[in-house]
Amino acid sequence: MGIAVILDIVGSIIIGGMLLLTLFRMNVTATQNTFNFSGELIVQENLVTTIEVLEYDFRKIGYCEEPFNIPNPARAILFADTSRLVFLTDVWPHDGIVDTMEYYLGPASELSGTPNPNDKFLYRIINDVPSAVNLGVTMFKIKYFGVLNEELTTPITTVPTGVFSMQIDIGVENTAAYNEEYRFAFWRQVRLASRNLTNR
Amino acid sequence: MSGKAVLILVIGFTMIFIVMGYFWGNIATRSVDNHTSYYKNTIAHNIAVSGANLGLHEVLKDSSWNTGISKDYELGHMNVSITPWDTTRILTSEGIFMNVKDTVKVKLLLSTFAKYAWWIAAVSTGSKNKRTWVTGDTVWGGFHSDQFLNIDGDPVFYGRVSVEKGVNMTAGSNPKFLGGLITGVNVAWDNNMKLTSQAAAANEGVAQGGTCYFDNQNLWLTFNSDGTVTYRTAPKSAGDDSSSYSVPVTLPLSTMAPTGIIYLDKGDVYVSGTLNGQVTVVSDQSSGSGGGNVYLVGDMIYNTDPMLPDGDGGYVPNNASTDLMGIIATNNINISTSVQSGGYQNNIVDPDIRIDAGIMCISGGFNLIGLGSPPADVPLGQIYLQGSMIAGKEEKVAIYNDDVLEAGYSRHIVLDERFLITPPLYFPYSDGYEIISWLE
Repeated sequence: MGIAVILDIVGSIIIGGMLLLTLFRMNVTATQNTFNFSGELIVQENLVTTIEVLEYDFRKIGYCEEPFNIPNPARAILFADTSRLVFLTDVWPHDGIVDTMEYYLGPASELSGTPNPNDKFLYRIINDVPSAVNLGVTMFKIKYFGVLNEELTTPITTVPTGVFSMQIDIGVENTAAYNEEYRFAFWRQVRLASRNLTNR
Repeated sequence: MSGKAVLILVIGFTMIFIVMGYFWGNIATRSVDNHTSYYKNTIAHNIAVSGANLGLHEVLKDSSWNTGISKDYELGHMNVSITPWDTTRILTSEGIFMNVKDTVKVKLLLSTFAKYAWWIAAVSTGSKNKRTWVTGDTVWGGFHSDQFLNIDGDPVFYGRVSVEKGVNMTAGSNPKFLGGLITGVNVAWDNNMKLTSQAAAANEGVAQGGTCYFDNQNLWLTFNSDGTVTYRTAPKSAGDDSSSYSVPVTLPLSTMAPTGIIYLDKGDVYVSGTLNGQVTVVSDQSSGSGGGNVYLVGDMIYNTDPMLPDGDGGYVPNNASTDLMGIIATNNINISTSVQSGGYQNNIVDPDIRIDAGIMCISGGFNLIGLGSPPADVPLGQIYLQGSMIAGKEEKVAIYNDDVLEAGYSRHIVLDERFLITPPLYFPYSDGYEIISWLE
């Protein structure tokens, strides 16, 4: 076996090794990117799903298919706090019966089973029957404004609350992420006003 | 050999990159789709809301409007339709944007004036600033004025406030509008409103054996908590001297007013007591005949309270109450402070006055007799009105110095929320519609 052959073998090993390292590195990067990109997509889809449900519900504060079952919609908000809102509405299929809906954000300790330490249940409670969904919500904050656009001090417990519009902030992260690099998406509804609150 | 290996290597890497590129590209596409979908839904929704607002604008201008709207709007399309003229109408607005459709549905109801806790078409005489709302004035229910709303202090409005000309506030005032505030809103008012349907109902009552149509005299009514009513009559010249009135006659309310209305033409009505039942008292005035006034000579309340304190400083409807009263006057509805004999002095002995009724003054206003002169030259207390006050003109029930009550009554007005559904019998409706539910 000549020197040239040995050099060929050593060279091949070095080049092959470099290729293998490149492949491994590429595999790792591809996996990481796949997790991150997929995670980003999931976060954004969860965010849109959450806000679509939220907008759908909040726009119906004080709504009832039989309007006189809520004679004074200004009384429809029963309790308002920074991450909790209780109100009267008429949920699908809009049967004319007044329902009580509550939204609030649970503590992070309830979701200790997920790798993400920040995600929380966003509770949607209809007539005291809760449904908790983990869409990776980590932040749910509401500010309340009166008719003169003045910010109202929370919690608001007296009815009518004087709430005319709300600013809603929602943050969503993925529940699990590669190397704990959680993706974050944020949405703010600058002013959401239910028309029913002031229609009478 | 090495050439083949390189080729395989290149092809292999290319395949891997193609697959990964496709996968990641697909993620990016889905991400954009996600945003686009939300965007399309939002725009379609906004077009539908805009269509509803445009349609409502037409209905508020002309309550018989039923043309509908179909037009391109903001790169989308809107279709607005409305059900035919009736007590209730439903306006439906569709917004279409990039094949996404959203719908807004608005229910409208012919508006009754009784839905307002306090409603003013105009002020009578003097400076607009004389009719201020001050600290201590509280209104639970809707408020409307076709004039300015004048604020001097910290009054509280729990219901929606609408005014045509705006809000004047003195420096340092801090009013609370807990039900919203809208400016530039005019509600049409007819100072010459005819009470023909009320007169016809009274005539129908007479036909059924009732004693509910009076004319060219004064009428003194005292409602009793057992469901009866005591009435006396006198020539118009008797005025407020109750000793000049005829011998009292007491009848069950349903016997006296089988159709639920007691109607007086060309005279004044003096009223007080405790109503157990449902009735509307009308003091009409034929042109040039005089009269058309109602005098509250004492508390005029229901046997069962219509609104109950909720424990938080507010009120909730009392579903147990079926008592319902309307008081309609062509001219003024006056709180009497006369020291003549009869029930007049009640309003002096008892510092507050309590009224449970929907009251309407067509060309006049809600007024305190002798304001500024004894005995009404000092603070008298509060008007506790549970019902509704509608007036063609805003008269005065108080004199203030800054926001300090110097004479008369401060106002504690609570809308009888049952009026939102059931106004007093024969209580006039406005020509326009109001929104009673908004589904989006």
